[in-house]
Amino acid sequence: MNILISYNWLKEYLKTDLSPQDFASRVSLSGPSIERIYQKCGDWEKIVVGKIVNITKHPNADKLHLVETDIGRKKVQIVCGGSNLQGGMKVAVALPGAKVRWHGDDELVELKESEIRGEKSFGMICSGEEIGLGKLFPAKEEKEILDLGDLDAKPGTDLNKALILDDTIFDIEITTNRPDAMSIVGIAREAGTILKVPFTMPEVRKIKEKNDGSALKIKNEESDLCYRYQAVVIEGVKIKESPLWLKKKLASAGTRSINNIVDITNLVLWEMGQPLHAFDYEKLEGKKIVIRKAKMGENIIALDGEKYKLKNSHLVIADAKNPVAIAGVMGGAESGVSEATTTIVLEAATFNSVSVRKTSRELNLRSESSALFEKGLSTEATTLALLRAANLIMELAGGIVKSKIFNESSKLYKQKEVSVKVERVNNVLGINLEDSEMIDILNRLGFDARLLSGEIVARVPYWREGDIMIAEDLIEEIARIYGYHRLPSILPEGKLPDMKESRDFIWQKDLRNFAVSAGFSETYSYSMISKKMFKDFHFGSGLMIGLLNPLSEDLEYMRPSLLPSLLETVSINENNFGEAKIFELSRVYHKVKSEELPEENLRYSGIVYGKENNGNLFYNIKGFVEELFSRYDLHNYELKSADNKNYHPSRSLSIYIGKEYLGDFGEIHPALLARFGIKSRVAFFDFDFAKLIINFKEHKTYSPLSPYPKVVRDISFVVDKKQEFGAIKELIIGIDELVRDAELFDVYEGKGMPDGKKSMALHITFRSARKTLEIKEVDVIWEKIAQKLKKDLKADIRS
Amino acid sequence: MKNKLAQFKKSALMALEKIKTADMLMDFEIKFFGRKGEYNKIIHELPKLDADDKKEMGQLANKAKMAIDELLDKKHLELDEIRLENLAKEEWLDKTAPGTRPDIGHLHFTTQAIEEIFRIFTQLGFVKRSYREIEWDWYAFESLNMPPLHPARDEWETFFVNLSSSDGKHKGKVVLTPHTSSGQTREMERGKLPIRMTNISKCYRRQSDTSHIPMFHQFEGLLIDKGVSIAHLKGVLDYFARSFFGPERVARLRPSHFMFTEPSFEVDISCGVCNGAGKLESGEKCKLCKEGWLELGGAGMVHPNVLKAGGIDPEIYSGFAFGWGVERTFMMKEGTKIDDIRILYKNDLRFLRQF
Repeated sequence: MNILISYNWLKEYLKTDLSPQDFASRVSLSGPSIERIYQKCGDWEKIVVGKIVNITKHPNADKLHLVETDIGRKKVQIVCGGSNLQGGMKVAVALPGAKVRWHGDDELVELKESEIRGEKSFGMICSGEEIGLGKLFPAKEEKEILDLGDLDAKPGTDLNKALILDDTIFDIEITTNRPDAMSIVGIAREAGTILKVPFTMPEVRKIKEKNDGSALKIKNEESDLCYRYQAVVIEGVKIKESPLWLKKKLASAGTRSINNIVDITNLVLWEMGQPLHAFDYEKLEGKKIVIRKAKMGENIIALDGEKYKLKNSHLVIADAKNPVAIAGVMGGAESGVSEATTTIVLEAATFNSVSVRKTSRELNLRSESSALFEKGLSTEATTLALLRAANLIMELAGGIVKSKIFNESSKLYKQKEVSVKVERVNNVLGINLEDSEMIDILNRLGFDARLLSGEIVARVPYWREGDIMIAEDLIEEIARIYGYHRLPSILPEGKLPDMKESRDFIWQKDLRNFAVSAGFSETYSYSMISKKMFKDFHFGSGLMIGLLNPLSEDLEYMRPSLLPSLLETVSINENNFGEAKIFELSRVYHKVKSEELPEENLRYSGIVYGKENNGNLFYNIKGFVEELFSRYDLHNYELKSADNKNYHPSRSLSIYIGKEYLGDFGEIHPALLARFGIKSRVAFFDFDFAKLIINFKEHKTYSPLSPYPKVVRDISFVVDKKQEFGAIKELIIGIDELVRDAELFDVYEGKGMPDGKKSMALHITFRSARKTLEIKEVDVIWEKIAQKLKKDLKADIRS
Repeated sequence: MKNKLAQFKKSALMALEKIKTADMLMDFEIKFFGRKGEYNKIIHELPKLDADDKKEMGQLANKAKMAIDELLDKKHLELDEIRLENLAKEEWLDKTAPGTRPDIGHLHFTTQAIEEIFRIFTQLGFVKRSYREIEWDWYAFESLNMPPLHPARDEWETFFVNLSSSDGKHKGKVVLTPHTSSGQTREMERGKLPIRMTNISKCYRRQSDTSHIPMFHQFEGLLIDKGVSIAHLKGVLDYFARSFFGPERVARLRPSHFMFTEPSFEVDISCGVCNGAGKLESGEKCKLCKEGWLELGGAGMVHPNVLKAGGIDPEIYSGFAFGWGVERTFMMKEGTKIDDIRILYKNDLRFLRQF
């Protein structure tokens, strides 16, 4: 969580004169991370305080007004679209020549006297964003201009002088384990320890309690959810606007000013990290506070104006009848402090963190208060905060204490003690730090640490009780304050693990590189697909592994195949690329049983697509597969017709080794492509990675090169159109052992061919392992082949 | 026969002298020495002669051929020389016309990133490992010191899967691994020490905007041994920073908080654009980094509870772990200026072919 901390405010409790940059970089190294620095906001030229005299509609624009504005020496007309313009309002006016940020852009723009839709405009009435005050005076809505309110400055006063906003705001990230640091005091304490400079707490004076327990009745029915509840009644308070110093402090933390009482509770929240709440005493039915769970059907309208339906699991603060606050999250609007309020109940409590968190999430209602409580606050923090707020209330709103300080406490506080061996600290740090330095660091952080026979025993300060549990937590405190940047940087020595890298990684790299060298580009797609895809592809619904909380319908089920993703890639690209090759090597997921983890199988799949429907895509994919298998010396595979409805019925094959199925390839069924809106034809290959690599040879065997030359003779003939080459090749190679290969290099059908016929041309390779072949020997075998083709296949030999 | 031979030699030599081009030379060779050429005609007549004449004529024929051959070779050389002198003119090409490119595909950006990161850590003896993507909640959270309902879990916007089990201590809900750290306890459970492993895997979180994607890759390093210190972690991270980003870059550790490590660190790398100054030479604020540093990811010393969950005695062994997003790290290095990370997995070939 990030908080905004004013450097000026911080310096009230911390003695430092470091520049904001130096402060930030030093503190970030050992403590909370200061992520951004917003430099002093007041650095304006030609921006003055203006007072709105009169507002009229712009004659030519609905949403604009002509605003007569007093800028001191004169009154000028300014065209303005602000939504909150009011007569008498004090505003920031940028005069011609001033530099502003249009709508909060990063670039500064110089303002000129201009005409807007035919009306003269002398400068601009600014929003907070436009003059870099967005953080200090956050706008409620987009078109809101900056309301300088009760600012005690005459029209024409330079804005720098009027606001005295010479400050730096740190945007600080605080980790969830450190709610104690989510405040001015918390940061001051951290920084004081890190910088070795003095840190002081805000001044807190005791208040004069009335010895009257009857003003309020408090009953804690849920001592497991509310550990401590402190409250005091103050009467005779005067509700008014807060003074500028208070408003400015709240603004620096990003909080809007409401009225003096509410502002004080917020001030203490930011200052000390303890949420407080003020109720209107008169609105509490029966002058009673009951800490209980909400009843079925109970509702509350919270301070944000929204109505919340409460559940029985939600902890509330109630009066005799109704809930008046959602405990730890937000107060109720009904019982809140209003202008009519004269007596208040000031509350400081500690709630169970899990309960606050659950309630806040279930109601979808977050607040600064819930953000603190859900991280766990100490019961010891309430008293100081209550007193600090009471002091300020009496100072700024008058009023006197009407009751005692009520204190319902269900948990007895016991200071925690954690210890760590000095030797262990140094082992983890990798250096030799003196025990006295370790103890000094802990004590500066507020621990009470001492050395006891080689061991540091540390009493944990209450504000760290939720965070410091074990020895390692103390080691962290010592190490970070000493400075991680001061520790040496050493490469680990020691034994290397007794484990070889799995060869799978090398195979993965090989197969990727093979595909790339064959012209395939690699894709990565999401592992999830839509329900519709599951149906469109013929995947059995028994395989469905669904997400309980998908991000969208498109990403709802774990994919059982890479095909849908690859087809999606085709449809994305086919307009830009008429043909392309793509592949992916990723896991697919198959359900085993609903009580077991699913199978995760790596698949090696790819696609070639193009416009033509001449079977070439099939041969492209087949050639790829053949080359792949021969590269890894796998030859004893069998091809069978693929039994898969996603494929073209006659242009697909499955690959087996014995009975083991490795995968398949072929053209995708045109009907499936049509469902995808794909206009191209698509051929696909799909292999189970694990089965491939088991059968692939890692080391190849070398076959000696024949010293005798080969003889290549061609043959061409006309056969039936449906005659498969596979049978021809088998026939030719079977004729004589000197025939080594038969390679198809031309097929022709169509014009000039008799109906139902095609011509084929082959290179036939002859070679002997023992001698150089003679022409006559080759002639004899060639003749045999020709005769056999004539006889068995009724081939008409052309040459 | 003798006359024929003399005539043959004379006409051949005369013809040879007149030859000016390679084509003429080829015609000459066909005419005089081709299969049906003048020379063969004479040779074919040899068998008709009686034995003595046959021998004499044979020798004569051979002599004549050798004499011609010698000049023929010279002619060849002569013509070759002329040809090579004119080569530039004869074989002129338009060198500005485009080359014929090989049809080669492209490895995905992420694969290239993964390989480079793996390469660096394997140099330090880290062994590549891989684990499940769909995993028991126990490995993803509980064994990492994050019991159910722990608020720290909120930081992982986790996807839950419609599988679950009620028996066995490691079972319960099933998640898509939101981080690679789920592999830590799996690795420890193998019971082999010391451990030095790296794992890069797909991770899933419920997020999608210009800098977040629901599926991304994370890198993990885990080292468990006796006497492992923060100094060792710094050593490894500095080595990575220099190898991956360049010799002038450094890593730094800042305090952070993770449930499965104690102490926990945020790892930063000095900014390559402003060289760690936070400001450009022009004095403008560096837009890439935060005050001179870029956030790389998280790290820490393995929490004793995690060691215990993995069956390792934290009194004897200690270790560190670190991990971060692969895509983001690679984008930081290359200055690829990818303004929307979601483009990585859209698979537009116009994008894929740039890598």
